[in-house]
Amino acid sequence: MPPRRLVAPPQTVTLRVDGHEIPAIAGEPVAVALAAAGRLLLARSVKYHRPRGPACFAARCDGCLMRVDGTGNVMTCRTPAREGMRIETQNVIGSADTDLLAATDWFFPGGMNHHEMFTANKLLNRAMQKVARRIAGIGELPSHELAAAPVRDLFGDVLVIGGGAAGLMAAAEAARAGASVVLLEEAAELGGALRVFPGAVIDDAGRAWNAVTLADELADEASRAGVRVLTHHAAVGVYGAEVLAHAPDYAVRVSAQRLVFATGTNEGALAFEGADLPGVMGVRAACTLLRHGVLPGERVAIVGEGDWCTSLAAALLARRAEVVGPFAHDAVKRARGRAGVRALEVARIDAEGNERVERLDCDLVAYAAPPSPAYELAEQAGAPVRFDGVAFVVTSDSRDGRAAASGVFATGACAGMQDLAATLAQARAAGRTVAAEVRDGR
Amino acid sequence: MADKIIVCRCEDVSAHDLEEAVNRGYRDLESVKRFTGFGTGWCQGKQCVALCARLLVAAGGEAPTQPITPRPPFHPVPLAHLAGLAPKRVDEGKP
Repeated sequence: MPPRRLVAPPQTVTLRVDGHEIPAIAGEPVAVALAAAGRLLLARSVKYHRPRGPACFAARCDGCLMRVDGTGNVMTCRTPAREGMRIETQNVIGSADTDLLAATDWFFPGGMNHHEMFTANKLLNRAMQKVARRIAGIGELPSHELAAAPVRDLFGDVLVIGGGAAGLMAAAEAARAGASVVLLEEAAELGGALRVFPGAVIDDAGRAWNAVTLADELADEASRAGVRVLTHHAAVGVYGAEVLAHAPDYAVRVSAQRLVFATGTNEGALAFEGADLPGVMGVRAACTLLRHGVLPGERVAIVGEGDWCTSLAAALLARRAEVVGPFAHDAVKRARGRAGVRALEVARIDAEGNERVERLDCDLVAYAAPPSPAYELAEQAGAPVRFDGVAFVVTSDSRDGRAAASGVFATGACAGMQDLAATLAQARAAGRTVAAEVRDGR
Repeated sequence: MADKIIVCRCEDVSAHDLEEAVNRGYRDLESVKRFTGFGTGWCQGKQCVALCARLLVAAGGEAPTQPITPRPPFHPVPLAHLAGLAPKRVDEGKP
């Protein structure tokens, strides 16, 4: 069974998707509405035209790029649904389900080495370039001329990037200490990972919370403290003293004396055959669908370990879905399916010690990969980044998040904080430190 | 024949491509990135860079000391939104 809504939506708008009408809740991400309508195959990969679906629902992958109202390459996981929106699959001949260009995948079973392909003969090379340009591709130019969008300029003492636990805490603390604070959050809702985690967490005072309740509480505290909170604003680059952000309809330029990066982690990936099939997604992505009231699958295979896996499994069971696993990363052989995952093959060791590959039917695979700190923006601002053997991590002071670059702080999971209590304590100190520095004119 | 194991979804780079790069002598992360193109697509490595770094080390390459350089904008932005950023027009000498 494909994903479906758990309860009938209260008020719907209609999306026109490749000519079909699909209901959506106004304001929910388009990719979530498509999943709720049973559609996870949204795109094709650029080179081999392999079927793709959202793997993250968090603007960290290629699986939800579509043409929206005549503009190509829109991340539909971050695009709020509006009445009459026209959504189209891009870069296919035929449809997303049966894309003729997928033949490329069969022609090059071992992969493509562009460096030496068709380079022996100049004419042949020129001809192949033309073919390659048609096959590879990422959509077409907008169908109509777009007017330059307005730009908003914002100023603050402190700019906090990321509205998860760390960002909200640092922003609230800095504002309470008298700084003017702007906070950018790329998602529609505040709370980051807390917003979608279906379980309990423990704060820095040792108190247990339902994760979503704590997200609400931290968001309320930030707004009570006077933080200027902007959701749906993705920071896209740091240019000297300015940070450029992108909202659905315009760009924003923010200038601040202090930058606090609280960008959390990217969900990361695992390497196994079929890991790129629609329906194979991160545990956080599956939890994001649940958060939107969409059951991601009826029979879900879970790969990996940790709180996200156990909480997702419990949440699925509570909604009467079946759960298989969890399986260790190295036990996974491959995910099977044509346009979407249908089974997971895992290795089991039998009584005689022989490996036996077992095929388990499922309609969703949710994996917990090692999280990968979102270092991109902090690094651009000059913060040092190291490899810890598993992922790249922003290096900052464990006490208050100060990074080596002047005026730059990184706090929470992007700086390698593993648990929520430590994150909140560091973010609190970061907020106080930046506010004190601004006040003292340092 | 076994299907490809895709390690960078945005650019369709396979595990085989990474190993091939190491076999040709590209042993550091930046060189492997330049040869295979991993991390150069939509997500600029958000999804794949840690995985590719681990696979590189497992294949006998060098443990990285720094990541690749992701290029902004880190999120697709319509050019129309950037067009509005043009600096205010300088005085063109008209009265």
